[in-house]
Amino acid sequence: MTVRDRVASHAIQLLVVAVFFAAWVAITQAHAVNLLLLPALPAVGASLAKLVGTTVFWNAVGVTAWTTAIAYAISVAFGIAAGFFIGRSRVLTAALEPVISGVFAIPIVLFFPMIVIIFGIGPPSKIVFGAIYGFFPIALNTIAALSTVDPLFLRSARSLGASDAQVFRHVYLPGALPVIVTGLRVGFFICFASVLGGETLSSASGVGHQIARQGELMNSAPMYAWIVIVLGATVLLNLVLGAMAGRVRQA
Amino acid sequence: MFAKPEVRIRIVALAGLLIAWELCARFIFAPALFAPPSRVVAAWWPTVGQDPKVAHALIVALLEILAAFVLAVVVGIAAGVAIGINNFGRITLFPFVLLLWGLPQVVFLPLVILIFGIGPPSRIAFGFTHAVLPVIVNTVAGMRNVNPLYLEHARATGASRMQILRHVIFPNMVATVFTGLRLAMTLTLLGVILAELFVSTNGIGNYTQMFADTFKPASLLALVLTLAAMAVALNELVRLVESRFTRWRQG
Amino acid sequence: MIGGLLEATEGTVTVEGAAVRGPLPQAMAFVFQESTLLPWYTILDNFRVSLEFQGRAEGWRERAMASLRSVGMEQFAGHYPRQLSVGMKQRINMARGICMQTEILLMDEPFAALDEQTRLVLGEDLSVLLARTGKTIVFVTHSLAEAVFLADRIVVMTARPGKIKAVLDVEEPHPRSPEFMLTPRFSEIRNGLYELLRDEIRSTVDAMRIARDTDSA
Repeated sequence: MTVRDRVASHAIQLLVVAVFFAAWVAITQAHAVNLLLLPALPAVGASLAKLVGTTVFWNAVGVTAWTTAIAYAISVAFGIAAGFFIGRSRVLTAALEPVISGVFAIPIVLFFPMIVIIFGIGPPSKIVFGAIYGFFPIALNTIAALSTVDPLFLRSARSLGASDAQVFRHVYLPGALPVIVTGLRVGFFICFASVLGGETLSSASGVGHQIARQGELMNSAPMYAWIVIVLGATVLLNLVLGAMAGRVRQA
Repeated sequence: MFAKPEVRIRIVALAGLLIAWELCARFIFAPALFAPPSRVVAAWWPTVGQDPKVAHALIVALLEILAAFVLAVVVGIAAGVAIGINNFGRITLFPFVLLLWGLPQVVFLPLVILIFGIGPPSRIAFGFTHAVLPVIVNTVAGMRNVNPLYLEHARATGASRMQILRHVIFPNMVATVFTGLRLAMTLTLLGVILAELFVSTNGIGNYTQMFADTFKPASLLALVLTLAAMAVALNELVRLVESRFTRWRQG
Repeated sequence: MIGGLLEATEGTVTVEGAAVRGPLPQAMAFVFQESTLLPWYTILDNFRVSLEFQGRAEGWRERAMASLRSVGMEQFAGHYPRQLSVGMKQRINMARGICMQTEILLMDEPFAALDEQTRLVLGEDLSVLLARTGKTIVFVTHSLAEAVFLADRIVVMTARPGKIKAVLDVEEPHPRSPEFMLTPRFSEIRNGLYELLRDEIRSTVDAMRIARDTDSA
């Protein structure tokens, strides 16, 4: 790719973004689409400005944030534990990995109504839901990571007299770490998305609930504002987690 | 077949889960909140088998899933070809696809309902947006990962660009797309069912809500597990179609 | 470069009096070291597609079956490449190269990935095909015995940068039988090749030693 091609490519990308916003403005100016569905860009901006920093904002963001955090912590704990327990043994892996990935292929959101019946509409149901959903990629990636560690290295370390802990630290871990880290990243975003999903479906608090509520009230500008907030948070989290993953890789 | 340790472990694990479920539901949870497998099985026929309205809702859900899936595959391949057909297009446009892929699409659910209404179109649309992305990604990948040896042979034998596309690039692309179709089906299921659960007047979401509100966990679980079985069957179907079309890959 | 797949840095390559500027599928067919049979087509369909690429696909089915028969592979016409062994695939690749009905056949170490026995058998097959069709075949190999057994003319190349070091002729007519390899003439030519190459090998090994010593210094 020549430098000229690269510049042209970025120019076109900027153009696409610009066209997107220009189209938004043009469509709303021309009243071509119901303002209910596509509010004017300035209206969204104003809603956003009004929203950020209010108690409503911090309440919702706070609830979503610590719900996600707790759900993620649980899914990491169980995911890594199960992943190690199963991944260490080839028999267990062959037996259980297909079952786990088979279950993951079913939309787990089907069980959300059941979870709400048991745990109620508040955050606990979202924590359980997020934890369950986040468990799968973490466990599956951990299992995969362990099964790719070359048994030759393991045998050679053991023959040199290494203890289990040493084998774990010097052979398993470095080989398995990149795949596990990927699993942790994917698990986080799945956890986050399922907490948001749970809040959207059935909740009294949290960002997902706000989006659903604004949608119900047909307040499109505030709804768009909340969507922008989530998208911004996603981009930010992506950058942060990406940087962290990169640092782990270098360590 | 039962002699294989993997199968035995699976049977033990599943049996253990069923027993734990039965005991938990009977002795730990209130009967209004959770139902043991025995009650779920008993509730299946009156709830799902016999009730024509529930059966109708299930069929509608199935049709929505199929519609969303087919649409996602057709549009996804078309878009993927448009993006991946040359290097410049790919480098310029593919980052947008990746950007969309990373977003928690559930935040758009209330918006999609506003746009498409409460009925099947919104569910098909939401399933479509979930599934189309992996199809695009796989199509683009399939156009890139052609074995250079085959391209060299075609060139040396005097093939025109059209012939190379038709006989070398396209078959390879189809194979790669097929390996992504399973993920596409899983995501279609997720999207359609999420939309159904969010709001529905006659669909399965309506019945899950009803069973939840009237504290009939056995009926709820019977319905949910029927849907889960449908999901498994659809996934298996895709896998079968995939293996039939990639017969040339098997030794 | 002969096949038009690489550009020469100096000088020109001419085929039948015309300079080569790109692939000439009507004049030259290729057999590569690795099988280039498209995995998603059957063997027979592979022949069809290759002939379509060339633009001369009339009567492709009869031609394909005849070529397969000449290497004893006709019963695999309906198989997929994945179902066949490496030796079988290379035999089919060879048959396809002949099927293209070009004057020249370019073969780039086609038997390198095969075991000794298969190499010998395919070498004999090639000798028979050569006698029958009278084609011009450019065959690249690193095996001295294979070069002497197959070639009417051997061009010895130097180590990098590759220049022509010597040209030897082998008078034995095709088809050659394996007994040829036991004759004193065969050994004479082969030993001559070895002498020619020994210098090249020695200079390569010396260069490697120098590189290793300067690296560790």
